[in-house]
Amino acid sequence: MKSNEDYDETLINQIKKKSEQIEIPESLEPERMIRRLNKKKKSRNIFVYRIAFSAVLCAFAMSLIYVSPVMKHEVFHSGVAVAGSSVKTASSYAEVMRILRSSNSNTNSFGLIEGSLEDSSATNSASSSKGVDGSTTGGGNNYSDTNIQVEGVDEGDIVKTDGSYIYIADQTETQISIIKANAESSSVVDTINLVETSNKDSFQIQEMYVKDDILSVIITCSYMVEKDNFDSSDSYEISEYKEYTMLKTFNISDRQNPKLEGTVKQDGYYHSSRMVGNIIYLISNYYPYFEFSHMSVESCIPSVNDSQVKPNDIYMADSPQTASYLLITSVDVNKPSDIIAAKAILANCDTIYVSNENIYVADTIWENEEQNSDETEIMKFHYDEQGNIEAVATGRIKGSVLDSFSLDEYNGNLRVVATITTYGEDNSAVFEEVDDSDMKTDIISVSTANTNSLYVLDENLNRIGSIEGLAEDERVYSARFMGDIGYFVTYHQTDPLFAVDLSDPANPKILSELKIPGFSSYLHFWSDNLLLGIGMETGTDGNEGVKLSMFDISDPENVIEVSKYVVDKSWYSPTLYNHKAVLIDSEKNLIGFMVEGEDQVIDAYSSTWKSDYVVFSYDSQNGFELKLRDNLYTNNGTDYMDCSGTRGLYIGDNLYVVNPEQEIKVFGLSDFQLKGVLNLLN
Amino acid sequence: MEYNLDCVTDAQNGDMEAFSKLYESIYKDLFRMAYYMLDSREDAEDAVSETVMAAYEGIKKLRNVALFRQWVFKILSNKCKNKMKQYYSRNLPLDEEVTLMEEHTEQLDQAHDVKNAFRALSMEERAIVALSIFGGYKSKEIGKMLHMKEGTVRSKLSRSMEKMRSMLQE
Repeated sequence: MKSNEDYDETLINQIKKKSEQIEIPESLEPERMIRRLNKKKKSRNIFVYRIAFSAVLCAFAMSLIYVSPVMKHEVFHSGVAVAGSSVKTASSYAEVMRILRSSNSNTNSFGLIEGSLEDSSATNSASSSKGVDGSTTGGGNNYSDTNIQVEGVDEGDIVKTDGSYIYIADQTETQISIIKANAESSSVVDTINLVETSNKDSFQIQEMYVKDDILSVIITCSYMVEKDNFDSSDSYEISEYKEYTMLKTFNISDRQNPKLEGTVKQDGYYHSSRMVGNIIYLISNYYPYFEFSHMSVESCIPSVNDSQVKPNDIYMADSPQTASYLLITSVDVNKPSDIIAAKAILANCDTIYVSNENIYVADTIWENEEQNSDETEIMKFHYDEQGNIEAVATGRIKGSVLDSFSLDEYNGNLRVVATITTYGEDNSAVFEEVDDSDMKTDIISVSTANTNSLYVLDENLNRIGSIEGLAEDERVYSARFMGDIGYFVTYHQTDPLFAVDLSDPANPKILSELKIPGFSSYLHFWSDNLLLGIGMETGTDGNEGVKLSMFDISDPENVIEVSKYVVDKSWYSPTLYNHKAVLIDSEKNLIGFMVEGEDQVIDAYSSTWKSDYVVFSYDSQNGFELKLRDNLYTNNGTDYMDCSGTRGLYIGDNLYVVNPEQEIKVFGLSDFQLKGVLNLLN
Repeated sequence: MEYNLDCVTDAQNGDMEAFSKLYESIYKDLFRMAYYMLDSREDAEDAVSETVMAAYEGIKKLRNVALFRQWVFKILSNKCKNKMKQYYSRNLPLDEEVTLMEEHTEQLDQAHDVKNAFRALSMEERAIVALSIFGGYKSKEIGKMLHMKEGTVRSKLSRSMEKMRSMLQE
């Protein structure tokens, strides 16, 4: 069965071959290099730096905390340029191009952007957010939903269900299958092929949304354009690689005959999306390709539905250090050919968090001459039910955030957990102590130190409270917030689970710190009193694997791990990195996910491996109980099948284990017996 | 990889010939990785030199000899990333003459399209792809070396492959 891996093999070999033509500099030839080393040996000049953690930490703790003042500017309304304002939106394309010209390409830094905060129409109200973060899936329906971060803010995925049908995106074949879910009598109702034969661009399905009779599909496309090169002294041609993202909306009231209702497209590669009500928010990263000698509006400014984003919808930094954009658009699925709002930010952002009312964009600014640690710029955009998007404020914190779960909005405030890496005088971190059991190297020269902080920012992203200097030498691995309490896990070799009291935003307090081996990558509230953690156990005694932990949080000052289960023969699960890959439903008492692990040892260096789908239940007496371990795939040494796209879902009394490029297996929820298999391969 | 673990142990004991064998087995891949990541022969040369020096000085402290190669590649990728960070944070105005000069010498390189393909990638993506191709590492290992989640590595790697694939198709 062909797979992306096969294509990659050929490509890799191609690149390897071409790279062999590169001439290696003489100074690196073995004879010359060894001679140099011998000389060095004679005049030994080794400096051994011991870890200067305490010294670095002291300095950090005493340094002033950076606070970004929010300046009040005139609010800007989409479509209307505010004359002569100090709001940092572009006044013209020429201005944007000037900035692009002076920046370097493809960086990950993000400059300061000053947003605006005006009357209450642009701000979120002080009332509590509509949804509750961290709730379990299912909520009243007799079928499972995608495991999302914020209730009320849907997230796209490759497998969706509405309780009657299952929708599956096959990313290899670029098609969507619609399955009538009927336990062992399930059948394929229709297949939507998304490759347009007239269009030879390369397509890939990213994610889908299903709401009532509307199916929305996000696709990224790429193509090459041959361009004339404008420098006549060079004889080679320039090929420009272009990417764009499309949202295609289908009417599926007749599931056997889906009708394409509309398409929108925007420049750049898909980053993420959300769906709130009938509005889809589509976010992409766009790297314009332009030559400094020939910059044009068309090549420099991002476009949406084939027209350039207007200057006053482009947010710019004071001194941006990037030549890439983040594009955010909104589309009403009932009017799927129209774009409601389109915003471009001159930035290459890492993390997006969307609450019930605001979109937060977080971007890491690497340490540089002006700051000795990484920092994060956070920008806040308000969105409303009609899909309008407005800039609200910007703020800056020390450190970098792990993912969207590191941010949480509550009562108008934003809570953020960050890891701060401070760099010492010698700006090159040569060696680092590696924190897992099979790769221990000693530290020769260290000039980085980690510490962690929790910040509370108000609705203007001014800091109002914080706890700093936590868990020295560790990094944040997971976080989850529920109202006035926040939990986060840091890790180096043990895993402290911190519980923080956030009831007074100006004075967050650590309530407890529980240290256990391994770490949790994903935290999920199982009930009011129980917190589920999914992560890895990393013992040196051979007991390693994907791990489930249940924490009793009834008394946050005294959090206890009441149950733990290390999945046998498991070294990886997509759940560790993708919260949508896990099925969690405390009412149905289900925890389902895919694990990959060793199958049989061949010799000292290799083994075969397999992918299984596991399902657990939990009760207070017996702890975690393994209910099902179904083999999805076993590799025989030559083939490769990536089962990371496997999703478990339930409808009524049936569990469907969907492996999008292979098959659906149906199990009864009462006894976990296999009822039937539906093959998805044509 | 034409070296065995004994070579590493011997090198740790000061055997220069053993270290030389180790070096011979990886120096070309090291240079290729640095070259594509940094997009400059000179900087790549510096990065590899510094890496080999560091490896030479630090080899005694390497506990798990089986990980020698991974360890050296990790050092190199750190060096390259730091060099790249320095470029960006200095916000250097584009020195067009320098670029043109580099590009002239590049014409001698047959692998110009590979270079272009790498240019389409971000700093992080280049490191991932270079470690995958020249280091020969799997996503899990790359995740450990770059302190990234394995899933992130996989998706960035496949996305980068997509980008490069279209640039390299004839």
